[in-house]
Amino acid sequence: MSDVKCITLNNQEYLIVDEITINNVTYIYLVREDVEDEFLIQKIILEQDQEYLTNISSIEEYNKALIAFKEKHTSNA
Amino acid sequence: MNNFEMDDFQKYHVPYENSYMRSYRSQKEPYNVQIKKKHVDWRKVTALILGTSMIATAFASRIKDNYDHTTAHAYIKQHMNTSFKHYDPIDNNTYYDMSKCARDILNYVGSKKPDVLIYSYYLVFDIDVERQMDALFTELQKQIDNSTDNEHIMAMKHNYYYASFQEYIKAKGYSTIDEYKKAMDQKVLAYKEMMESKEVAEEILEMDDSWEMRQ
Repeated sequence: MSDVKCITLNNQEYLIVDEITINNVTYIYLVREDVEDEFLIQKIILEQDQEYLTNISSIEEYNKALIAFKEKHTSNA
Repeated sequence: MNNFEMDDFQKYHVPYENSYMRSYRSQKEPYNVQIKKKHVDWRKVTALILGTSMIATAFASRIKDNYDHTTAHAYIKQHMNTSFKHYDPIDNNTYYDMSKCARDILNYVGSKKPDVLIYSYYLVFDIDVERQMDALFTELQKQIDNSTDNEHIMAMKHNYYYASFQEYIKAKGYSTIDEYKKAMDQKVLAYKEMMESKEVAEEILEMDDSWEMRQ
């Protein structure tokens, strides 16, 4: 057991796997703890001093965020 | 990437598409992080995202110099197999997924590569079941509109859908779906040989523009 960062999104709890910033946009990688293959990527935006998670706007952006994750984690392996 | 095999596509393709749809459709919510005590298998969690990132790489590779021809074709073949594998005569949506996959391929993988493009065209135009299905479903819908018996409706839907697909395969001169798929693969090989001609490749790319204009 260890301390794990979590958030609640769409009434579901997600574990925060990583945060990666690409061109000043921070992407957050979230995995459902209890569902084998469910994960999603969101963007963190700042509005009136409050941070929000918002959706990915295109498949290209989604692929870019996924590839950044791969590059980060495979280079550290 | 070079070691990414067909099995990996099969394993990660569904998580990839599902994850994208969740990431795309989610609503804006406050980013409120909580700290909890949990036991997490981080290797397993990371492997899931890394695996799906291979598919993202395959998509993105179309615009890079190191375009991975083998991977793109493996993806397309898998997409085709998945469409047939998940074919469910009772579920209308499974058929439409098949035509959707062709459009996806065209949009995400093949738009700049003639030999992949021809594969996509083949899927879109040769598998013209959609048009036949539309006509059959229009007729079916008339019957459903006049019926109040749900079981009867499902039976009609099953019969029409399954029978019409079998008819389509037979009309093409094949006795089974497997036989049809093998024939399609052979056709694609023939297309690939044809595509070795640069002039033909350029023609196909022009076709791509006109196809997009029709959408």
